[in-house]
Amino acid sequence: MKSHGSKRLLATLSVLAALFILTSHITVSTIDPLGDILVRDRVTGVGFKEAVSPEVGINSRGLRDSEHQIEKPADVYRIAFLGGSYMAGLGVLREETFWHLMSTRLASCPFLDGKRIEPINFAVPSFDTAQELLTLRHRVWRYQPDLVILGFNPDNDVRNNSRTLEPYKDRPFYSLRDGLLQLDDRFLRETDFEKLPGHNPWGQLKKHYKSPSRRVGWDFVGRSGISYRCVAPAFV
Amino acid sequence: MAAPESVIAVLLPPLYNQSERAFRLNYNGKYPRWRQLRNRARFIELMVQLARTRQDVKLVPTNLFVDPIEGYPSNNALHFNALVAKQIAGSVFSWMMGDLAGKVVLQRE
Repeated sequence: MKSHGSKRLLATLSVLAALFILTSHITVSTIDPLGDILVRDRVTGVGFKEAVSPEVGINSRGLRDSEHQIEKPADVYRIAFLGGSYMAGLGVLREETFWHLMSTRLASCPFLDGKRIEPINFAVPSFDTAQELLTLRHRVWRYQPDLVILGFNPDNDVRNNSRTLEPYKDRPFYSLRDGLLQLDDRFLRETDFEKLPGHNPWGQLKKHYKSPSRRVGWDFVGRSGISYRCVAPAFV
Repeated sequence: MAAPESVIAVLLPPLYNQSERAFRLNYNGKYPRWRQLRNRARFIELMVQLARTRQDVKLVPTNLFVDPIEGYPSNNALHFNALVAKQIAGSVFSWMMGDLAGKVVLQRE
């Protein structure tokens, strides 16, 4: 009787250990929006912390990308990517992102006349179009891209672009007045730049357990692959 | 500071996860899949209309050729896995070969 109990305990501990190892692996290999990789940014509201978490692949300029020099070499065709979470490759490794894959395919493209393709990813999870426009003006143009590709997701980008619809006001907004874009940067005066909202560990833990997708623990071994939502900050 | 020769293109949003359950998990039933698909379809319609009238708006057809069943984790409605990333890479590559290559060749001539 006693040995049955011990075996059950051992099996439970093994399962828990396996869960711990698996979730820890996912944490370091994909972007976790609850992880400590986002910081306040005085231009766009939020951005990647510079040169943090080499597994996720954030470079010294706060881009989820390898290092790039600002000056464009003559033999390079530059493509800049702007967007939110799906452009940033939330849930996949950097080597699996579409901008990384397409650049390897384009390496043999004849129309480029021997030029080397250099994709630069400026996407940050939660970005809206206003933040992307500011990124374009303040950061992207410096790299002199030949092509700028913007990802727009109607799921949240429409809401994020409207001060009325968006519940979180800690971001810039643009409005159209007399045919011209007017920047509303009230967030610069109203936002606490020392921390992200809900960035304390207890808040994260509460959010983690309140989320219905986090309660179903077996989802991370689903047939379709892994998801960042499986990451359990409570374990790490 | 702008680069006036830059081409700006918009990726049309890919098809979302086929699983209604993923939407329920992510949005607590507030935003069902049909509503997301309706908004996505309206956005694509508007962008296509805009692109017909403006030469400087380029659209990349990443709304097509995406596997909504195998291409998403079972619990995520919008963020695709490596399979869809590969399919989107294929669409962007094809668009560049088809649309952009012509423009570059014309400029050269």
